[in-house]
Amino acid sequence: MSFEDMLGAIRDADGDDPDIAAATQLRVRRSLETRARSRHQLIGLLTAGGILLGGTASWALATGRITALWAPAPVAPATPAPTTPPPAPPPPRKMATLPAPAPVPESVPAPVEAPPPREPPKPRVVRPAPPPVEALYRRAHELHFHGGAPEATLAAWDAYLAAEPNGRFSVDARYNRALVLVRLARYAEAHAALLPFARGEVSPAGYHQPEAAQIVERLARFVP
Amino acid sequence: MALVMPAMAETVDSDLVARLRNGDRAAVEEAYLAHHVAIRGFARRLVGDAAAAEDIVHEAFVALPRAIRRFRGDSSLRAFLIGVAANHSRRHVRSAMRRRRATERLAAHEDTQPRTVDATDQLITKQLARRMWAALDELPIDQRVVFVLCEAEQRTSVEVAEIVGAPEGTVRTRLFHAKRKLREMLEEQP
Repeated sequence: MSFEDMLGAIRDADGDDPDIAAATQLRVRRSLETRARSRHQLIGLLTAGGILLGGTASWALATGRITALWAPAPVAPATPAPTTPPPAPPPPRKMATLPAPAPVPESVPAPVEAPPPREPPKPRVVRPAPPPVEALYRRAHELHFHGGAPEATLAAWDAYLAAEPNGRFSVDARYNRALVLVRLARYAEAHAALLPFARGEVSPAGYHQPEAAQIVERLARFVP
Repeated sequence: MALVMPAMAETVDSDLVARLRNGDRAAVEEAYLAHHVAIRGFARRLVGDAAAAEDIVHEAFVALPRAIRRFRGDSSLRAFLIGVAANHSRRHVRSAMRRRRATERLAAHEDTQPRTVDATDQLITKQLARRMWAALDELPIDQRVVFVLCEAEQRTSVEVAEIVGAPEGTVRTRLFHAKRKLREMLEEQP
């Protein structure tokens, strides 16, 4: 894969996403409202502080206590440290004792109903286990279409194809395996695997041919 | 028509800028409606993470009423907004990078199995972009911003110089180093 391919891929990221855009617009509006509210609160607090300060100063001037406001705080005379001995530790507390537990009266057993008579066991229906090859296909199919990890899915397809290279589902398995290779970004291998499908060389003829042709065309640039 | 459009755009921009300078909150909403797609596109190309990109868009528009004091009218309002977004991107680039590294292993598992040609195409694009963003994570933020603006958004170096507020020569130097490092990193990969 080339530098230009990767650059082209980030160019594809655009900003046209109406739902997300509306959510962010609302977020911006709320943030601006909160900011404006905080500013108003700050202005209110500063105004109140100013009024309080001004009022205090005026009161101090009017009552002649302005000098008291500026006068240094009186320094308390140094007193010697107390020499009294430390108080004796308190006498040890008596541990509270709990009264001995009262004897538990023997419970009267509740009358137990007699269990219903058991039905005679039904004979088990033993389903025949699917043949191992079919089980391998089922597992790969399950992983492929129901969110399996790509490495595990690939291993499952490989296991099925190893067991049954020309079986009933092998064409389907090969096609799906090629798609897993795309998912694993193994483009050259995916290209090689999809080429027979794109050329209509598989039986039944035309199996996923148009899709395979388009994917092969897209992958061609990654093939050395 | 082509001659009328830029003049109209300038008039609209200057009215909007005047209202933004007066602290009109409705003007921020108007600016958002006019420019959010471009800002979001830049943010997504820059960080490669939708959530982080959205945080950048949000911060750019919330910062706009204060940032507009620096706007001298040398560039368009959109270019100025991209510059504001770029200035706010540093922290978000780092958080997106940490998230990308933490989920690197899981990324392949997050992708669902493509069932159509379009889905396959999208998956391939996603994988390629992931590689580019992982390489961009290794660049200093100034080089990353210039690379995204010049190469991903295909802007001229003059335009980018206006956006990032640096001389054109500096922009070219940053771009040169960014491309060299990215090529080295990406060509080493299989």
